[in-house]
Amino acid sequence: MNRLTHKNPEVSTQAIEQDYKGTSAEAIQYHYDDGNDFFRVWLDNTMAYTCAMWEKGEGLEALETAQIRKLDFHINQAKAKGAKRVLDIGCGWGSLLRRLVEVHGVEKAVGVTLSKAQTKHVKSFKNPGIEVYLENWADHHPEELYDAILGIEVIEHIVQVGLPETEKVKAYRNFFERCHKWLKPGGWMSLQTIVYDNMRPENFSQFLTTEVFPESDHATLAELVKARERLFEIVAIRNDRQDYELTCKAWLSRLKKNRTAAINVVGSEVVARYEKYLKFCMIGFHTGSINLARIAMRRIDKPCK
Amino acid sequence: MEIKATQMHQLSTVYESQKENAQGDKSNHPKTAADIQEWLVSYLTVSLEIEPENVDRTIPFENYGLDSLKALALTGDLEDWLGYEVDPTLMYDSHTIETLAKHLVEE
Repeated sequence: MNRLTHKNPEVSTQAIEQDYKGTSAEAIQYHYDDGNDFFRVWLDNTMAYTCAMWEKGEGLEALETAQIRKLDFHINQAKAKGAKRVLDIGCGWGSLLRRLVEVHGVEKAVGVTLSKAQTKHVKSFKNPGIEVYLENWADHHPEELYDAILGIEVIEHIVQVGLPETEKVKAYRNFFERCHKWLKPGGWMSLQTIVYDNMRPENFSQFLTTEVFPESDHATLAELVKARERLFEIVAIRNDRQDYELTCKAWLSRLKKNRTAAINVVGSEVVARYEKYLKFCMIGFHTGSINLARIAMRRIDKPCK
Repeated sequence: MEIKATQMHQLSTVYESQKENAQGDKSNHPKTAADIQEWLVSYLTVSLEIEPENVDRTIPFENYGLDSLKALALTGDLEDWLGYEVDPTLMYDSHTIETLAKHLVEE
């Protein structure tokens, strides 16, 4: 999920300077590191701050079940079950890393994140099958290749707002090139990302500046499809925007229910902004101006020159 | 487009007077569809600076050109006034003033 940062121009400038690495460590830490206790108030036990996967008829109280279902979906889609080494780019609070090792028999699950608080949290598991690195994915240099790669809502952090389409595609391609290099031949990747859909490019900035998605930008499906040419073949794409509407609704409901606790941690202004933000997201996913794409890709082992 | 400060003032005045009316109502009965329709009409006249007779209760909200900020503000204020939750996406389901009021009462 995107950050809802305080509008601090200094943080934005720092982030823009990162060439193709996407959001800076400062910007990520600015958001996530002060927020552990706040997020704990309204996220479920998995601390997943990304779209869950719901079954028909499930109520909002099934959030945790729906989050775990999402993890399993991606693990299956990336063929990561029983694998030797799996990379989770943007591992958050580590729920996917744990699931890989504890339930799906993965020998080594490696996570990268830019958040110190998240790194510390994942290290606290003291699980020998889990490694976590406080680094930008662009700086990741694994000693051994991976069998599978997972990226759940990390593509949102690759480009900054306002780049022209060609520059965005270059940045996404850089990401796919890295993934291609890190994967064993025949390896799979499962991605989940918010994408723009039924909205015009000229309306992007208006939408963005209304406090919904400050400081990072989304891809369109077309940009991602273009960026992975001759690196990965797309095996499946799902559009699960209704899942995200429901996830935001569940978060909003929990935040409202625990409003006093949330205000005690971050103050009423931030809580009010988050409530507004979640409502905006609900509208975006409800109307289809933004979508949630879940994409399965297979590494192309002999890319044509 | 942000709601202008003057409009905000007018809106809060409308809201406050609605609140007083609600408090003055000792029976504290749930709002009827007619009450909700009146609230929506007065809200739109202030928010969009139009005359009440120009508010058509039978056309979808999207015809009024409410942007997402205004739509959010409306559902938020409506929620406060009603005293129960209103889904922010309701404004995007082709509702008219009449059908929205009916929907909320039935819900």
